[in-house]
Amino acid sequence: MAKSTGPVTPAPRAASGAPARTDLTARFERDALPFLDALYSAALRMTKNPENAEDLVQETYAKAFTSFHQFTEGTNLRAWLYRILTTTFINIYRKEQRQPLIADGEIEEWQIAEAATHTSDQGKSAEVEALEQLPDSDIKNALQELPEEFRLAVYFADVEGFSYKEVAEILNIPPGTVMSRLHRGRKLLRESLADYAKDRGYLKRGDAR
Amino acid sequence: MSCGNHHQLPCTEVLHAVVLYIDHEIDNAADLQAIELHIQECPPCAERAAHEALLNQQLKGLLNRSCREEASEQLRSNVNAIIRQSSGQGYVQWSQSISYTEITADSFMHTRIEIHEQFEEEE
Repeated sequence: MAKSTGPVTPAPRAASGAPARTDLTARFERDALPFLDALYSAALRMTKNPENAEDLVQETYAKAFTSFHQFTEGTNLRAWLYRILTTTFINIYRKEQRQPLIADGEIEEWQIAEAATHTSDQGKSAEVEALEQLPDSDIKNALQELPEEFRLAVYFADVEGFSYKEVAEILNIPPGTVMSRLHRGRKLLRESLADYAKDRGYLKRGDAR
Repeated sequence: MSCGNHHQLPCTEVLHAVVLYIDHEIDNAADLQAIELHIQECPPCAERAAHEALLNQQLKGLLNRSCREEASEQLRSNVNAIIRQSSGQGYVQWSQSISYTEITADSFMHTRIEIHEQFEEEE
């Protein structure tokens, strides 16, 4: 039994020289608020429950607003907001699991082995059709079940459409790591979706790997 | 590994890079050109690239179809309130404290995390 309480991130705003506060606020509302739904969607994929996701989004906006004066207008606001979201999430919700489930170096070899063959992909077209029929809930669950490091890489690249470089900045990892996590994550997700499709009888066992 | 024909860029290299190619992550113009040329003249690699592209596109489509959420009105108004309070006249001190409570019962451990946020206005 342990209980510890303490301030974690006191973030007092600079108490001097804020010349155009109303401008700043107006700009923040105009530019950052439209990302509310998108940030909430990402937060939900991170925390896996609506209540924590809402807390995370509120905190992200609070932090973003207090440091908005440091944001350079014209640079990538969307990536900046996601970076704050991710950092906040990691600081608060992920204290206990620092270890990645799979060391990044382990990924390359099988991936190269797999990619470096001209395989015929028949049987995969049955899978493509089957996955199309899956309900949204299965897709969300499959993504949810993906280990976090893969889940976030896939989410940022394939839902939000960020480049590898942007994902690297958001997650604060090297671009090469983004690549391996993303490729592995997509593969794991596809396999999981195929399992859902088999459970629903959309895909025969043995139709796909 | 080869499709039997000679290419300037071997099939193995193209296949290694095929996902990067599909993701538009090949920045080097010469590399990109070499891959595109190879794909034009090598049907197996072209097929592989098309197939990977299809799978990728499908996955993106499925995720985008199912993962778009809408923030609740409550969340929207909370965020608006945070901005209003923070931008209010006077400077704002934002502080946060997090408390953890771990309860151990038998072999289960529950961790409870509470987040307290405080906005204090200072004139």
